[in-house]
Amino acid sequence: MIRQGLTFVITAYRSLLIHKLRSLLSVLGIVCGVMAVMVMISTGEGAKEEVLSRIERLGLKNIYVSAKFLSQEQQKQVQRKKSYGLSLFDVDYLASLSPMITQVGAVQKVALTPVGTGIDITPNILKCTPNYSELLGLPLRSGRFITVRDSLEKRQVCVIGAVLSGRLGREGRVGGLIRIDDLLYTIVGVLKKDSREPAKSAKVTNQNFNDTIFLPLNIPHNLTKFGSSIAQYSELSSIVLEVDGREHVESAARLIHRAMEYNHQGVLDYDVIVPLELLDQALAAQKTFNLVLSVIAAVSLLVGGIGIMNIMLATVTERRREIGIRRAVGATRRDIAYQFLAESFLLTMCGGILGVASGFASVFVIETLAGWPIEITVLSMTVPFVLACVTGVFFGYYPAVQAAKMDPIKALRTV
Amino acid sequence: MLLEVEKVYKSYQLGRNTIPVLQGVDLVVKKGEFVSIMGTSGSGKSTLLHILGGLDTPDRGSYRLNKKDMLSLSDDERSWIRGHWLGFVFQTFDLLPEFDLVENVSLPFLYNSSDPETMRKQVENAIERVGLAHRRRHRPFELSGGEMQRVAIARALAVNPKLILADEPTGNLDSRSSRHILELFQELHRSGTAIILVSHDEKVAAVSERTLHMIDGYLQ
Ligand SMILES: Nc1ncnc2c1ncn2[C@@H]1O[C@H](COP(=O)(O)OP(=O)(O)O)[C@@H](O)[C@H]1O
Ligand SMILES: [Mg+2]
Repeated sequence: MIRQGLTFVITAYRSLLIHKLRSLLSVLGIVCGVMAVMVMISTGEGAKEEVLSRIERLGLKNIYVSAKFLSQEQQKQVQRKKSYGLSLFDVDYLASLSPMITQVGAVQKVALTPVGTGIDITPNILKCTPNYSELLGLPLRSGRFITVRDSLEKRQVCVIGAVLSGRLGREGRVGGLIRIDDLLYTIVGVLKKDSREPAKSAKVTNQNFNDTIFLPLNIPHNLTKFGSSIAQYSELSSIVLEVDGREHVESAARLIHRAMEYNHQGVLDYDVIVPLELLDQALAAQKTFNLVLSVIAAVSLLVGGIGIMNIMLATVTERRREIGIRRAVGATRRDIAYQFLAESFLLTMCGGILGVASGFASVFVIETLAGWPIEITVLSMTVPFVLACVTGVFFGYYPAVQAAKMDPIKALRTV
Repeated sequence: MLLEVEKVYKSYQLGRNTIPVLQGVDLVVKKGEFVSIMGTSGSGKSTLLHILGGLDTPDRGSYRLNKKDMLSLSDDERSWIRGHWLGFVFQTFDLLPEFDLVENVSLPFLYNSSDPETMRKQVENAIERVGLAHRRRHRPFELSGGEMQRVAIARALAVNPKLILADEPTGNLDSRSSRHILELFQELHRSGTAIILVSHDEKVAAVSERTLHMIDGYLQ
């Protein structure tokens, strides 16, 4: 049995070698199909991971309202309509909007550079509310984050990212001093290092905070409660709102949209970003991409399978005489069927191997050209390979049966 | 008796016409006997040989081979009998071009239950008997017609068959090679193998013990 199987494979192999070019061409469809499946699985896994980590960093229970640059035309409108960009007024208003909104934080980008740190990186400086670290889930390595009292008492304190802390050396620890714009700030906390790469996507601008300096945002009241005094004009970079559960994110987002529209009298000087929506969008885009690739893979495998069937039918006709001889020396119909099945199986297996090889190549091309993160796993190689083999057996079945059914007399009478 | 054929009829249907080929063939062959069957081209010799080999079935009649009723056997059973009891030799040699001599001679063992050691011995023995031991690893296209036919005989011989069925084995050979092949058949006969040799060439008949003529669908 094993000897027979082996001989079948050897026979198949030699007959394929005789028609090298023909075999190669017939297997092209399979190669494409396997390639498509492999790219699909690899990109699927890689992209999913990247998307998830990007969005998770934003917090799936959070909603962001961020300031948007306006064109000159829009700015004129703004003056007429008295919209002052993103302000603490918005923060107050949004905080009191609904019990679904449990926390509101705000952040203001500061265009200042620290002096005398003697380092070659320009740290981001963010003025933020005390709850910012909680909203974004920023863990501390040492010390504490900015507190309400820091804000109220206008203390000159700061919290810094891990990489920045490392670069500053001794001065980068809790108790060290950083000079920014003629003022000295005492470091009260250092964040844990965020090992994740900064996101590449433009829409989801969430760099990691490894080289960031956090300062207290000067607020006249505790933002989590409804305050008494209202700042008339204070441009913020963004407002972060936390919703009490994922199931409420959608309705909260709708509320926020409406409130902002009312507050800003229809001037669109802000963006509402819902990470959960981004996640859904990303997954939907991934799905579409997968669907397109699936169709390509399916069509390629189908065409490839038909190619195999075609070539095998030709082979069966070409080798009628051989079938007759084999029957004359004792081969049963089943023996003949297995022989041709082995041949189409071997053919598609070669196609599968070629496909996986070119799949590797295209995955790397995509990775470098499109900058997508791609992961090649055992699964992303075996699934397309097995698929190819199944295709080979499926489409090789009919020609094999034709070979087996052939009347040995007719086979022997053909010259 | 090795083989008993009684009142075998076979005709072919070509459109509306029925072409009668065998019209009541009777044939008895003893164990180890060498019988030649002569007949003009188209007289039905190959048809008879195919029936004897269990590759074809007659319309009517009976056929017993080594006490087995060949006509009641299944396709698989007849395959088994071809692989163990019979050896075919054809006019056009019919070796597999992508295999060398040893592999070609081993072909029947692919469908035969013998163990590898027996196979190796019998294959070597058969190749030696046809005098091609020195060409073991040659491929068919490197051999002459006569040599190819000797390989085909070795292939038929390798399983130690009870009966060799040869269909015009010298039909494609020059006279010297033909003589050589016929001598080989005589030698096989002397060592105990039964042979039925079919030919339209009267000279070929001279080597056999008994000659029958296929005329009008009968054997005489
Ligand atoms: N499949 C077939 N259909 C119709 N006629 C056939 C078929 N096979 C053989 N014949 C006819 O049967 C006759 C006997 O053929 P065959 O046995 O090959 O003769 P021989 O071997 O004596 O030359 C021929 O006339 C041939 O044309
Ligand atoms: Mg003939």
